[in-house]
Amino acid sequence: MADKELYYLTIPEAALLLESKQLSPVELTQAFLDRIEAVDGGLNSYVTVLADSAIEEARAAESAIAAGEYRGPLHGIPIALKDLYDTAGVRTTAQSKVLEHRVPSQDATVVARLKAAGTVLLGKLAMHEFALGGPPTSLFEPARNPWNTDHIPGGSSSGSGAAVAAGLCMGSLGSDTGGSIRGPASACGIVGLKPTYGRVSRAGVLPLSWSLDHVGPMTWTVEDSAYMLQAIAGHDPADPTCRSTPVPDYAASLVEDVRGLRIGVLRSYINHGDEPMDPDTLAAFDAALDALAAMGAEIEEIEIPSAVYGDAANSVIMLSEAFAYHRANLQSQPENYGEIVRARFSTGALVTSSDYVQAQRVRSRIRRETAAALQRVDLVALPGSRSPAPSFEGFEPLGRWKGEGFMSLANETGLPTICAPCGFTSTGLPAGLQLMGRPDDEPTVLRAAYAYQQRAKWYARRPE
Amino acid sequence: MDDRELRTLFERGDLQLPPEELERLRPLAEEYLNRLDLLYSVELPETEEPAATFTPEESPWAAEGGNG
Repeated sequence: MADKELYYLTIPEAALLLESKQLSPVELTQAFLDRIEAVDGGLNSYVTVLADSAIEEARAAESAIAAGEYRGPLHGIPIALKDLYDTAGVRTTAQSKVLEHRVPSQDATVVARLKAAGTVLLGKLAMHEFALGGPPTSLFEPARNPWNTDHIPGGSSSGSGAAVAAGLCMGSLGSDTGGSIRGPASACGIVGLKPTYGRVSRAGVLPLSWSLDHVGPMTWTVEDSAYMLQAIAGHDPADPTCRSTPVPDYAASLVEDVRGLRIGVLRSYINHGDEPMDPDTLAAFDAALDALAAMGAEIEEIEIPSAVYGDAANSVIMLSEAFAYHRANLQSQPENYGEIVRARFSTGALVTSSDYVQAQRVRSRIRRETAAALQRVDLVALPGSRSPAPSFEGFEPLGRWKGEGFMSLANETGLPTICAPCGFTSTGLPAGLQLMGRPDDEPTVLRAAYAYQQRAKWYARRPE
Repeated sequence: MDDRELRTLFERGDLQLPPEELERLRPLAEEYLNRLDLLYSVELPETEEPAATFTPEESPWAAEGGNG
């Protein structure tokens, strides 16, 4: 039996116990439901807890495993979903009054795939309203950071970051348009994987910006993300942007070997801007690079000169696409949008067609320069954030756009990017390391992140 | 930016914003216009086309055999 609390097991650790019938999915699920009951009152990571149906699903998994019908490493694993994934018969709100009573009739493709893999759905998780802006929203209390509940857990997949970090689910799905998987992963000290654009279906996932949206796993460890990606990746005729290239065996890439791997560091991009990086966050990033070098990776400085325009292009594209989606509701029921997201979406009304085209032309240049950089190196390394998660008191959602740095490049290029924990600041808040690879090269991204994780072992530290 | 210019900008999206909401959006709008200035300052060749939806099959990597 496990030598640690059940809610702190990794997915492969739990899978081993479940497959060998040393642990029942019902016992595992109940441990998470008890944990949610005990601690989520202070975190608000769940907006809907599905206790009864979760136990039913766990019983079904238990029966199937007992009957010799074990489906694989996610069978009987309790997970939770950001509240923008359609779940048949379960309210899906995007944390907005606009969708307060919305109950989808069908599962999103990825939800159906996770169910087919045998997962147990514990509930739906908090998020920033419509995946933009920040706390507060027009519906539900905002999620809090388990490392320090006075601080935000990042966003927009705020509940996913908080729930995984606090041991309230074994894995989650987030969505990432400008860093919304990787940002909360960095803020909460967990692993977030934004796959290649088109690698994972978005059918049944509420959109923010069609050309920038990605969906992907958020988990405690790199191997957990690999297993979840395996279950959700692959062609889906319901999503025209989803591609049909073969899905590799991601678990096979989990080897502790980065010898000869070339990792480029965008040092001048990291140093650009008026506001310097938080020294502890930068030190954690540099120490991670040193660790990778000590393991045999070749670290070199590279340049993607147009990366400095990335945030500007991303915001023009994102807000204009988001405004196109929300225009009718902003006109007919503006009062049902939270103040912050309404303000953000309203700025989408400012964008002219030429503004949008110019942003997409700049995006073309960014992509070309990134492609050239990735001819020289295998991976590009960036910090997970400029600074640790701000406090609720210090967070200014309608102030100047701050702290967006280092995220937009991966959305504009569509390249697979992981964010993994790389240390803590002196105030005890996590810092993250991003590694971005070539299209469909999630295996190399996972390999480097896994090798680093096994050396650094940040996963051994849990929030109080 | 005066009030009339600000209102005109938002009315492009058919948003009839009350004065207090409009005032609250002023800093966001100004920040946003600064970003547009930055984007228009980028010197691009005349042949630079807007990015289409990402298609790795058409990317430079695909021609070289894909993943490293």
